[in-house]
Amino acid sequence: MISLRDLTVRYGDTVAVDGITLDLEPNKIYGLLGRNGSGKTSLLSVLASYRRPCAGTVTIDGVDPFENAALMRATAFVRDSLDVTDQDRIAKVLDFAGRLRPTWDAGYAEHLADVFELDRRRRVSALSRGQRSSLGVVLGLAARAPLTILDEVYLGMDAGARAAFYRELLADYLAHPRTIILSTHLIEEVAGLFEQVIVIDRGRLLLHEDTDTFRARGVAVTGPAAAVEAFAAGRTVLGEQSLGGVRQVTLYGALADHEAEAARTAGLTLAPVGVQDLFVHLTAVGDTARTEALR
Amino acid sequence: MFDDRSPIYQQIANGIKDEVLSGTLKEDEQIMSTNQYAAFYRINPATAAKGFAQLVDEGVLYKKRGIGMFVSPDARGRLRAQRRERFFADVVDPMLTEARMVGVGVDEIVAYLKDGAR
Amino acid sequence: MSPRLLVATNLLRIYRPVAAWFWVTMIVCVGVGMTVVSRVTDPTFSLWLVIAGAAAKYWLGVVGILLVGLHLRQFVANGVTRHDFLAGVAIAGLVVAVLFALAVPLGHAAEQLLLSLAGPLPERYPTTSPGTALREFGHVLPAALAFLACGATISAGFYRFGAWGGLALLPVAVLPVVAAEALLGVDEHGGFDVRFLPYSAAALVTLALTAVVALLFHREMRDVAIRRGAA
Repeated sequence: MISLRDLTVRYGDTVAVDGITLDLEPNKIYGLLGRNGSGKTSLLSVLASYRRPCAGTVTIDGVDPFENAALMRATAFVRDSLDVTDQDRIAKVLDFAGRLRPTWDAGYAEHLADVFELDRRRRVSALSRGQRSSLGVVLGLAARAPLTILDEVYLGMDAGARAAFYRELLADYLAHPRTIILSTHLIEEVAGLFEQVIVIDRGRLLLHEDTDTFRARGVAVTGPAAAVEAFAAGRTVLGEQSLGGVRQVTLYGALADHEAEAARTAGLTLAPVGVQDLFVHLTAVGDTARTEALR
Repeated sequence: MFDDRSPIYQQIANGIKDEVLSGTLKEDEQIMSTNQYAAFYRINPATAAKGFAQLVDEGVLYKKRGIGMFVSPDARGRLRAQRRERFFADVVDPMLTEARMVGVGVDEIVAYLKDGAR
Repeated sequence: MSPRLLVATNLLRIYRPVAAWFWVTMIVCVGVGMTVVSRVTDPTFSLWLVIAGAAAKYWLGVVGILLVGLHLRQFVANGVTRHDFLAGVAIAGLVVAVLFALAVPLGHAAEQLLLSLAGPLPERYPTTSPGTALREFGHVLPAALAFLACGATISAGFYRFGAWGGLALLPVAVLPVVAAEALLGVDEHGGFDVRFLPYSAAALVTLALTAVVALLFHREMRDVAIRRGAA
């Protein structure tokens, strides 16, 4: 079990992670969702012992992972910038990982490199953005680390490579269950892989729940303005728009059966909201009041 | 395969129920494991397991320890009974509401059903 | 293999080809240079001591500068703690410094041997002997360690504290090199620099300052945040 308590990361006056408390059970795939600059990478850096938190604690099974040899060995953290030597050839990068990581699976690394069509003789500096990302995926998955953290590793990958990534990730997870945290803001195409989603915004935790629960969170209510207003009163409104006398609001929180029934009798139409839309609404630009309301 | 809007585990459960009803899945037939299901449909195995668990709760599937999940012998009959109960409420009532709105009489519908559907 | 040994052996493996190139270059330069000089005149100096003696410590200084920026994240990204990385750096650094310090007297001996094979040894050539070789080793080793520690500590200062912090620490980080350059050294005529202090005191001061700066390096790095490379 990974436990974060009041975790805070600051850079000078900038607060990147603002008092996050979170528990992650082992051997699940987590989706860490947040817009750019929401604090995802800072949070993950602390988890991977790449930096110390300014305040708060991280423990893995009760032990602080920072500079703990066993726990750091059991963690693989892949950042979008890749922590490899740019002048090295891919073959050398993979060989190096194999020499240092006791859990490295060289055969699997070769398989993945084939899947992503990586030429082992190419230097890292000569790779395209998407190929760099693919190399990151190879390093992250072939490490077979009990805690595998992939931070926006799909950048620059085309749709085909991303599909291959998701397929390989799932297949390898099924064969070798472990804790995987995948940070992303492209939720639509990966949501199915996540057992749970964690949404952070402006350094704060917005929600952490089963993906299926998250899916059922949003509802779009459409109808005559007055009726919509009345129904929405006292609920968390994520977004609203009007067209003539018709009004539509996006509400947060699943409706009970009797509430849905009441809405229909009031002449309102209810429609589910897709996960990507829900995420966009939840983390909408410049609306701190709403964020506060959700907390 | 899955739409984006309702819980995937429910969609999984409903899909399997449909297969049982249509006879694609026979009674006492073994169904895919959660892992096979997850790999095939590219979803998290826990989600698939949740869908299967719901079906076990409802008696559509049963578990054989260490072997896997099977379709209950009476699953098809029970599902049919359930769906029949809901058939009028779920299918016929909305049709009648629509018919009333657009002014189609019940006798017209009856006549249509008699020669249209053999 | 323990993590620190793993780090040390991998660092040595990374630098093996680089060091090989370095020494091949040295040998070729000195070989060509000494041949040319011997044709023209009787050499009164050892070119090997001039070039290799100095280049060896500068090379270690450069490697010291590269260590943190190039290798820290590479090792940590593969599950190595900072502590084990630093311990591995210390082991590998010590091994390389000793090997380089050995190369200086050994090369000097080889140079003398080749000269004597080519003809009578020039009269004023600084000849070596087991005793001289030992003294050369004794002068080069502390200097090599000083340069390595200085390079590593300077770059660690910038890595950890940014431009201004790095600059502020610079005067402290260069202390061992200042001591080594002022108090120790083998000149091209085979003379030993003991201008200010007798050898044992000079070596002690240099090693002590090197140890202090190495400690500073450890303090800078032991809980440092791992920076990103160029994205």
